[in-house]
Amino acid sequence: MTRAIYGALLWLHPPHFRERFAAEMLWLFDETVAAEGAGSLLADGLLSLMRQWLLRRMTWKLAAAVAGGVLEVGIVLALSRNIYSPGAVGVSGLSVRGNARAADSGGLTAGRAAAQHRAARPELHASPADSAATPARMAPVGEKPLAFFVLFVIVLVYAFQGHRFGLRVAAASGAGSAAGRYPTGTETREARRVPAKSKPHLSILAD
Amino acid sequence: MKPVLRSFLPLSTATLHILLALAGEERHGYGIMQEVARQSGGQYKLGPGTLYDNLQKLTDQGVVTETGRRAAGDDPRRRYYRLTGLGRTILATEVTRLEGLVREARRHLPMARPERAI
Repeated sequence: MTRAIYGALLWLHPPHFRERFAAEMLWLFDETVAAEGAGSLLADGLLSLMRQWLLRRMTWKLAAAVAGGVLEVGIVLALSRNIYSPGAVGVSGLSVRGNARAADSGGLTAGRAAAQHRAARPELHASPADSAATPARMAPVGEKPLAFFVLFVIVLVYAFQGHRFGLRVAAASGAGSAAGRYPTGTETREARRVPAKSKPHLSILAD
Repeated sequence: MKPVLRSFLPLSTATLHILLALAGEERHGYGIMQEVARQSGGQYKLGPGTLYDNLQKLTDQGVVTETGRRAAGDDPRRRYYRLTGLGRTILATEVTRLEGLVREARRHLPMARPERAI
């Protein structure tokens, strides 16, 4: 049972690591489980799994880039009243581009490691069909900053649409719009200056 | 010290133990684990995950290399590893660095006696 769980943990490792070491690690498990105990070996396997995905594959950089990009775009949208100003859009675009570049550098590192492995263990990459089918370097996502940029632009557009929808709802309900809290673009500067508590029927009575 | 060597030092505990285990002879993964346990008197034990993570890094860096040796009757899953020339140089440089560190520590702690717990 524990051997099957350990095998499953090994199977969950990145393919590059699994192909290289999984069989040997399973053999080590068989050799040491009696002396070390299954618990410590399973914990070691779990730690190894996290280490390989988060640190060695640079997946954390990808996650950080996505989270950072979304956060920055959100902050820009939240802080800028006029989200259509060139400054706001420019800052959003630059932050997204910066995050994509950060992720890209992580991808290049992983790609370099993969290239070294390819050179060191050519037998694992020996199939010409396989090498023709796969790109020369690994890190398929991290090496495509343009794809990241497009992704974040899509997120940005959706955020714009959501913001505009919110403005339309606010304008339709009248809440906040008259007080000048939600300038809709259809209101004039003069209209926005009208105080919320003004009551036209009183002025009619005064006349 | 060459800039190439400087980038490797100081070695982590696991890396130092692995290089020390491979300094004498080429070993397979289980052999490395046993040798590390012996060197440290059982105080430091490497798990397979830590061992192969380090071996992956060290082989990628050219510090350790896999040998094609297969003894008769060996489990086919066994692979043997050995130090490269670069690996030996790194290990020697690290040992020299640690000697200096120990000298310095002894100078500052002349009267202190180590506990005999281990």
